[in-house]
Amino acid sequence: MAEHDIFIRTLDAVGARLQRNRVLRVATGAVLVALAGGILAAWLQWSMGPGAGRGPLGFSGVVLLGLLAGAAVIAWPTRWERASRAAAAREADRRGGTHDLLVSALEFRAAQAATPWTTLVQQRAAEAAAALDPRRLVPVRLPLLAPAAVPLLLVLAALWSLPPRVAVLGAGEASAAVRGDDAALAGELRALAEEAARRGDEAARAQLDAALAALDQEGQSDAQRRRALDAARDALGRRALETEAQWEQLRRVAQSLEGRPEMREVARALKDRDAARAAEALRKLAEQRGESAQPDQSAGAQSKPEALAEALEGAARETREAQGETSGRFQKAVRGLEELAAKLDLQQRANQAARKLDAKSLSLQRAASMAANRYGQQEGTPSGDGAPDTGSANISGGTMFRMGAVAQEKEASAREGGRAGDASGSAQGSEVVGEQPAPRPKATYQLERIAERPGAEAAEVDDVFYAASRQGEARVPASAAMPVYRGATEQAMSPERITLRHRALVREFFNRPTESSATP
Amino acid sequence: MTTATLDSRIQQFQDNFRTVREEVGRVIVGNQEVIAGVMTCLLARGHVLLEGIPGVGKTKLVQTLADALHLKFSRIQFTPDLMPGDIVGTSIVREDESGRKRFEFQPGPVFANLVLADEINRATPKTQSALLEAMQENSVSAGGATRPLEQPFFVLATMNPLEMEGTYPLPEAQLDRFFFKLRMGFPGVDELHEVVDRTTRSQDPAVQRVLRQGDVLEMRETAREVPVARAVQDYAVRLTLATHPESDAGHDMARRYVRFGASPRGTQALILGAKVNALVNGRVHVAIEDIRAVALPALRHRLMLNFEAEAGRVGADDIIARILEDLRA
Repeated sequence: MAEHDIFIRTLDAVGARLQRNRVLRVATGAVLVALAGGILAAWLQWSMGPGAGRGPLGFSGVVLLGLLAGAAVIAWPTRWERASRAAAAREADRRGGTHDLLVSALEFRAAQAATPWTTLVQQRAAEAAAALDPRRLVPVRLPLLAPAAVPLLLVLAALWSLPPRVAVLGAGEASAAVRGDDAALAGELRALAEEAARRGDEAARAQLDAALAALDQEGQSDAQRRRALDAARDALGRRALETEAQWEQLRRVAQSLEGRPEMREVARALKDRDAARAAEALRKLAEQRGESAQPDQSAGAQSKPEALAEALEGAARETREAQGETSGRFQKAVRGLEELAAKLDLQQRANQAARKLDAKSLSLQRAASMAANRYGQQEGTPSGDGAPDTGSANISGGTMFRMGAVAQEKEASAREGGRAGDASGSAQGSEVVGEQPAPRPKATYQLERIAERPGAEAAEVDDVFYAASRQGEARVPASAAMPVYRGATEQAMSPERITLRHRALVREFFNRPTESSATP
Repeated sequence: MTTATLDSRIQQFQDNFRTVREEVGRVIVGNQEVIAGVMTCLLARGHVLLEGIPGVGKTKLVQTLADALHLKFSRIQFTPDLMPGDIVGTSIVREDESGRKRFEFQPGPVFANLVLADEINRATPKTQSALLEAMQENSVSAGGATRPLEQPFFVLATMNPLEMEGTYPLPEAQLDRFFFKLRMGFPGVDELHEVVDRTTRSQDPAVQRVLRQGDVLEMRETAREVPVARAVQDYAVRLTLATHPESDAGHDMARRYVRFGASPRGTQALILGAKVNALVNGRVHVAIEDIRAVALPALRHRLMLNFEAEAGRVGADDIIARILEDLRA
C-alpha cells in the first residue's frame, strides 16, 4: 500500500511541477506579447511625432501597462489548472524512460478487478516511481523564449529614448499643414490692406489683396498658390525698392541740410531713416520760430520724395529768413515726414509679410521636392530637381504617378500619355506650371470592312470589325456536348486518375514488367 | 497465481525466446530482426510472409526453427500445377483385410506444426485458397469432414519479389491473413563471409531441439495475458486509422498514396505483436514503443497503394514510417 502511495505522490509532485512550468510558459508568452504590443505602440507614438507624448508614461506606456494587465488576467487562471494524474504519468513516462509503465499502472489502479498481471504492473510502477526524482524529472524553468524579453525591452527603451521624429509629410499632408497656418498670415495681410486703404495707398492695397486672394482661394493646386504667393511677394518687394529709392533721395536732401546747424537734427534723423524723429525735430524748430507746425491737412500729399525734398529745402531756407515771414513750408515738410513715417511703418510690416509669403512658398516647394524624391524611389530613378507641381491627391497609380511625372518635369505628352492619369482612368491631373492641362487621349475605333465575302450584299454593313456581338446558333447543342464532357470527367476523376480505356494497359504494364510487355 | 509465479513465467518466456533465437542464430547468419519477427508471429498465433531474393536463407530459417522447436515440419513447394488436394490431403480408396473397399483420408502436408509454403505466389489462386482456410480457421475441410489442425500451427510462406513471370499475386484477402510480412535483406560483407564459412565446411552446423511443443503453447498463453492500457491501445487504433485515406484521422501520406488502409486484423496484429515484444523486453505491460516496433511488419502488406504511389515509387514502408514519425504518443 505504501508503494502505491509513493506512486501517487510522485505523480502529484510531477503534476505540480508541470503546472508551474505551464504558468511560467503562459506568463512568459503573455509578457512577450505585451512587450511586442508596447513596441508597436511606442513606434506609433514615435511616428506620430512630437505631439503624441513621449516617455514611458505616454501613449505607448499606457498601452504596455494595459497589455501587461491583460496578460496577467489571462495567465492567472492557469495557476489553478492542475495537471491531471494521467498527464503527469504520461510526462513522467516520457521523461523518465519508463515506457508507459506509469500510465498503464494508473489505469489498472482505477480498474475494479485486479489480476496478477495488473498487480505486477502496479508493483513495478511503484518501484519505478520511487526511483524517480520529480525535481530532476520536471525542473521548473523559464521557457526558452523568456530571454527574448530582454531584446524586446531594449527595443522598447530605445524607442522611448528616441528624439521626436521630424515629420516627413507627403504632398497632400504638406499642403494641409501649409494651409493650416494660412489663417494667421491672411489676417495679417488683411489688416495691412485695410490700413493701406485707410491711408489711401491703393497700390499697396492692391498688392496685399492679391496676396490675400492667393491664400484664401480654395481648390487651387499648390503650384498655383505658390505662383500667386511669389507674385504677391515680388510686388511687395518692388514696393520696398521704391521706398529705398525714396530714402536715397531723402539722404541726399539730408546731406544738403547738414550744412545748416538749425537743421542738423533733422538731417541726422533722415540719415538714420527715422522719419518720425525728423518730423518731431522739424516741429520743434518751427515752434522755436513761433510758427505753428501743425500739419496742414489741405496741403496735399507731401510724402512723394520730390515734394518732401522741396518742402524740406524750403523750410531750411526759411530758417534764415526773419520770423513771421513764413510761407507754410514747415507745415508741409512736417506733414510730408509724418506721412512718410506712416508709409514706412506700413512698408516694414509689408516686408515682414513678404518674408512670410516667401517662407510659405518655400515650404510648398519642399513638399513638392519630397514628393518627387518619393516618386523617384518608387521608380528607382532619383529625382534631383525640385518639383514644380505635385498634384493634390494621394491616389496611388493616379495622381501620384502623374504628379511624379510632373515632378520630374517630363514633357506634357509624356505625362498624359504614360501610365499616370490615363492608366487609372479617373485621375484628374493637376495643372502644370505655365501650361494648360494636357488633353486626355480619346480611344478611336477604326472600322474595317471584310474585303470579300461570298454572297454578301453590297448594302450589308455588318461586315466590319468591332461590330456588336449577336446571338447565334451553336454548332453542337449543349444537350449533346454535356454528357460527353461529363463522361470524360468521370473517367479522369477515378481514384487512379486513369481513363477507363487505358486502365487495362496500365495494369498490364505493372503486372508484367518484362521487355516484351514493357511498352503499353 | 501469485506475482512471484507470474514473474517466473515471464522470466521463463524471456529465456525460451532468447534460447531459440540463439539456436537459430547458429545456422542463420544475421537477420536477427527477421528471426525475432518469425518467433513473434509463432507466439502470437500468426503466420508469416517472408519476402526476399533467392538464396538468402528463407527456407533454411524455417527448417532451423522447426528443428529448434521440436515441432513437426512440412514443406510445400508451390507450383502452377499444384492442386488443393496436394496441400490439404485427399481421400483414397483402401481395401481392408476382408476385401471391403472404403475411402480413407490421407492428410496433406498442411497437417504439421510448421508449414513452409515456398514461393506461394507460384500456385493458382484456387490452391492458395486451400491454404487460406487452414491459416484462418486452423482446420481443413476435406473428404466431407472438417479436421482440426494440430497446435501450434504456423505457416511460413515465402515469396520471391523478382520473378513475377508465371506467378499469381496474392489477393488482398490472403495477404491480410498473414500476421507479419518480413523482408530478408541481402547479407553484408562480414555476414557473407560467415555464411560461406559455415556452409562450405564438411559438417553443417547442427541445431539442438531446445523447446518442446508444450513450451510453445505455454508461451503463447503467456503472451496473450499481457495487459494493455487503453491509452496504449488507443495509439494502435490511431495508427491503423491513420493509414485510411477516407478517415478523418487519415494521414496526409495515406490520403495521397493509399487506396485501402489496414484492416482491423492489422490492429490485432499490432497489439498481439506488441505483447510478445513487451515480454521479450522484460515488460509486463505493453508500451507504445512495442507497437511502434512491430508496426512495419504488421502493416506493410495491409496497405493497398494507389497508382500514384506506384508511379512515384513510394512504398508502404515509407508511408508507415512517415505516419509513425508524425503520430503523437
